[in-house]
Amino acid sequence: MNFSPLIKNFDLITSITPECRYDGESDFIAWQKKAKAKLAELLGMDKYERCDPEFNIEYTEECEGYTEYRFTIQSEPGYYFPSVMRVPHGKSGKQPLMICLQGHSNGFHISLGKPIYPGDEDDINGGDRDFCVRAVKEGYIALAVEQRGFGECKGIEGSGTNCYQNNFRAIMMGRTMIGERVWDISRCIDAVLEHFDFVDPDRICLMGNSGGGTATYYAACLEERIALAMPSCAVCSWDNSIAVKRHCLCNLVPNIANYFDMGDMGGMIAPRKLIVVHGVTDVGFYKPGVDKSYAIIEKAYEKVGVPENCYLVTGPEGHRFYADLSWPVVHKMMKD
Amino acid sequence: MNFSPIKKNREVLINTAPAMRYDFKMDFTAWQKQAREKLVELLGIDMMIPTEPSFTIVSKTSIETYDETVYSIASEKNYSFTSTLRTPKGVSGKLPVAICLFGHADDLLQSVDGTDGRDLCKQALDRGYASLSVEQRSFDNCFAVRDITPEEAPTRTTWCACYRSSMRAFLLGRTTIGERVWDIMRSLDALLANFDNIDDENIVIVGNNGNGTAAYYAAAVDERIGAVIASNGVATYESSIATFSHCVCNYIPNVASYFDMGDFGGLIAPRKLVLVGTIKDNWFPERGLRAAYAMIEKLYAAAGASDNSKLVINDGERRFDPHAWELIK
Repeated sequence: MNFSPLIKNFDLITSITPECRYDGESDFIAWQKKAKAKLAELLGMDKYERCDPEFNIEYTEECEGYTEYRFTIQSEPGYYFPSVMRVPHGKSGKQPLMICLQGHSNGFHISLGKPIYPGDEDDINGGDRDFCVRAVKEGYIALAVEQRGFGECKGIEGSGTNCYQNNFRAIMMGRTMIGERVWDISRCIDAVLEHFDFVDPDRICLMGNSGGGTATYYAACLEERIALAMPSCAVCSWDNSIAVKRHCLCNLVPNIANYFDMGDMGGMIAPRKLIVVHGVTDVGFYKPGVDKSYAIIEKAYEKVGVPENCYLVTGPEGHRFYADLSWPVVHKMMKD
Repeated sequence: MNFSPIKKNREVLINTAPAMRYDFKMDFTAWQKQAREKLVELLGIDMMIPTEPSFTIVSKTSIETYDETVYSIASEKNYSFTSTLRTPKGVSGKLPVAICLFGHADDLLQSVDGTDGRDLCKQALDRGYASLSVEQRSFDNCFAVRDITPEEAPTRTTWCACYRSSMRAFLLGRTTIGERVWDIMRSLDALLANFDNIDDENIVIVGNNGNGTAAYYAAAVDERIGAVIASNGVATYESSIATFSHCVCNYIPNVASYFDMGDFGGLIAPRKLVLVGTIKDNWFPERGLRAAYAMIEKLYAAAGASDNSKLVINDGERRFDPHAWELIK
């Protein structure tokens, strides 16, 4: 006799066949359209309102090897967020862009390699989390975006993150934090393409680790201007990640398990490029769940006729990004 | 320039007109039907499937002034829980029954022996009710010990495992609070089917704090409940769970698009409703309670039952007020 609701609900999750799983036979484009509409509904994308972005460059600074811009935009009426872009010196013409999303950390300054709070240096130096520093070295324009609930956009002073309170206010109104973050990324792309004519609109890439990887994956499903997505330590079946271990509630999309598991959503990114990164000893996103999800993704890419456009990077450690293993794949896929 | 999503979402919430608020023009009973269906959907109860209850008497004990029967039922396939029925000795005929909810800050033992108003079952028995304690999901016996992680254990004064269970429920389109309402309903089914000394026209539900919230939602959904005392658990969303970080089990996705807390009072009307609060409550603050009750009063008037709702505000701590029992007679 089972008295545990945890066991009961886990049984339900593992016994569901998601309604929007691609059946392998029907018209793939038609499936993508329907799946994107459903995902957008689940994320609450119809709840966010466009407005005047009030684009504002706060500073432009010449640094060693790059020019740095900090700008803000208004993505919804009354909500603004900052982004910092680094443009490598010595390049001409239109250049590729890597948008970089941190996971749960003290803020996007980690991506920039700039410690502010105690503990930041450990984050920056361990786990390749200085995404923008590496992206510039790889010849990309790097763009760090501050996500809702993190850093300057957490709504309270001090270090740490603040997802709980943010999340439930959103959820109660049919919004989701992931949906809000996806929205912000799209508005940021709007602003970048409008104001920085050296950004190549055909080579916009998006990466993130952990919570940033989650946002990367969802954003790539819906935002077709993203040519390459690189979610790290995030793509994993529910039963091996957020449904089995205690994760931040900002991962939550209500009712999603009835329609999709994580792997099912990868088909929405195809034929665009997708690099799934994970660590074999990650104890938040277990390897069996990553493998299971990636198997579904591979089939979708084969169906579309571009199996070479998806790749699984397996790092030897745990929950972190693997820059040395991943960037060569980026260059190979983007042919640069 | 606002960088706070908390502030942004608070503004959205304040400016959201709940889509299913009663407009005071349409037929009230027709509105109740639509609104109740929507609430059931939002709670995820429409996803839950009844099963063979497998009613089992676990134990029968004679205590000094009452008899205690513990029974278990399956409310869903592969989920069971116990309920404890206590009936006062020396009373003949059919008994009114008080469903007494306990949880985050109290437990089954305190429901008879507790202090500071926690002894809801004893209060019910002293007033001639049978009491029914329903073991709620993620409290006490209804979770697995391993659900509590080592880092959580030292900080917990009582066992509650709401976080992960709620996360799983949400992913499935369910809610913990909906699951609890479902279990209350199934326990009531079992009670009425197996104990012929219970008056099925005299069922009340009481709870304090988060259990006050659960009592309120249960009464909104289950029309067999004739009266409810919801203590320190009802206030406008903006003043309470959307402002402070309450336990995850309080939350219902998308509810604020359709209702605020006061609107649900209309689903309870014309049945008796007593809301209890205190000026010292920071979790369900007085201003939010009064605002919710202002809507409830209007709804009860629309139902032609203005005398059936009451608001009691004390100046003490956040405890159940035993005087509220008098107001549901």
